Amino acid sequence: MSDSEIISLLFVRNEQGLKEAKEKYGKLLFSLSKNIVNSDEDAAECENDTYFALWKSVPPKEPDPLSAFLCRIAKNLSLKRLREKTARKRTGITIPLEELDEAIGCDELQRHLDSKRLGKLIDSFLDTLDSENRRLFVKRYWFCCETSVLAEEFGLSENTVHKRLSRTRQKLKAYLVKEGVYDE
Amino acid sequence: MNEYLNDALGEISDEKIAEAANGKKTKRVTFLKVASVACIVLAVAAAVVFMKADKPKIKDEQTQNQANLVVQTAAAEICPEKKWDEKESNEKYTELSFNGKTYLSTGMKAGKTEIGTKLGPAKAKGFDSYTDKIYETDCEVYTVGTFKSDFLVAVKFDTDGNTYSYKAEDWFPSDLKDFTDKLNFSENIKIDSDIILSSNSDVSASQIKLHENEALPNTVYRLLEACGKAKALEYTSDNMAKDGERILEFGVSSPLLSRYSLFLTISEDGYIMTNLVDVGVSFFVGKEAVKALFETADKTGGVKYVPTTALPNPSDVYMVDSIEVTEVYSEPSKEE
Repeated sequence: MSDSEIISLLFVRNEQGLKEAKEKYGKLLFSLSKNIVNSDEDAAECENDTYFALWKSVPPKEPDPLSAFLCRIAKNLSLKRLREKTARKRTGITIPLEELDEAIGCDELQRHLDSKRLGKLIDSFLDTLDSENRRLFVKRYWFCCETSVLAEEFGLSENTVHKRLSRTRQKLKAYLVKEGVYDE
Repeated sequence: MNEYLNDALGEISDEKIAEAANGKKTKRVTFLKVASVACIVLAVAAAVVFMKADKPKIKDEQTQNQANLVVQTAAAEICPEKKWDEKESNEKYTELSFNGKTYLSTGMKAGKTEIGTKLGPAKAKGFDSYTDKIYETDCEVYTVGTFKSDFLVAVKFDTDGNTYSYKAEDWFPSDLKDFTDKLNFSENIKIDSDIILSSNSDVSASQIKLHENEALPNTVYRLLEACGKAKALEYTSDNMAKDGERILEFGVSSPLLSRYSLFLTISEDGYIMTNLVDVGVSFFVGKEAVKALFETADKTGGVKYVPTTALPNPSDVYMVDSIEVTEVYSEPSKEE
């Protein structure tokens, strides 16, 4: 079923819209959540909470693209869950963010660049990448996917995934340097 | 958790998140996959040859040992990635930029008879995973057969003098005319005479293999030509034959594209579906347009057919048969 059909069902308060959303995006939302909370049980709850949030938001909202809207909700709920559990294990979201931090040096950036501005720069930087490397970056650092999962999804070896991500992080650093965001 | 970085990543646009979320699995026929099959084929072939040639025929012990060594080496060293200098040009330079488009290597050489007119110079680039370096080289681009150049081109490298085919990355037709034009369908795509008529609701239960009849493929060519304005749709459950509808399944192949055992399916409710495009594509042409085709099929008649393999998944890229594999691993020429 198309996204607009799902939205139409939700607009007329038809619960079938939620079933269709689950059918279409359930697997994606569950895996995104699990990448962060690292627990099947918590991920399933986050996924269900996402549909509840969708039900409450539509109408009046008409999210387009629906996939990104659902992913944002699922990610926020999963992060909230992670904070609640104060999980300090070096798993899930921690490792990808550490990789990125190491490459661009957040401690230094944080002193004179707010997160929103950095986010806009990262978004612009992603426009300079080809589609595959952009998807790889977003899947790793936004969806927090493990490299083995990315290797399978992109038809690459895990080693190649690491190398590509490493190159992209270097390019990002170079891009930020060019944009003058670091202290001289 | 790094909240600062996490907040920053939250600024990534919806389009990019959707792009990553909705991205299809990449099932490209990578060099390693081709090479894996090639190595196995070579190892098995070598083993068979030496087993047959074994014992009484090879009297010389040294020759026998050498033969065994070849087999063992082939079997043991299955497919390490080639070093940069050992690769052919299309293995080195997998990506081509030409006329503002990106093309990817198909892994195939283009035969001399298939190379057409020269289109101009281009840059090709490749990545050496051993040294983590990106290389770029100049090359010349040519047409291939009667394919349109924004779909498939041949690329000649000065480095080894060979010509290879490259296909436009992520190409997806706008409509049926675009699809048939770019592929030059009538010339480049062969419709097999094995045609199956079945019901979409229960494909395995009631399949009929139609008697050989040239009228059916010819009607398909005419149908594709006549319905050029039909928009191309992604191959999803929304864009394919509905349950209970009868479908005609044609096997299609394209030697020039090195694509075999693909399908083109036409449903009685007016959908044309094929996996000739890597991700699968569907066109809705309407019931009326396909009516004559099904009438011809009904008149043709056939015999009950028991399938030996499942219907192919349109999003799969099919591993080509051993002809292509052996070509990738052909013996180096004497000049080299």
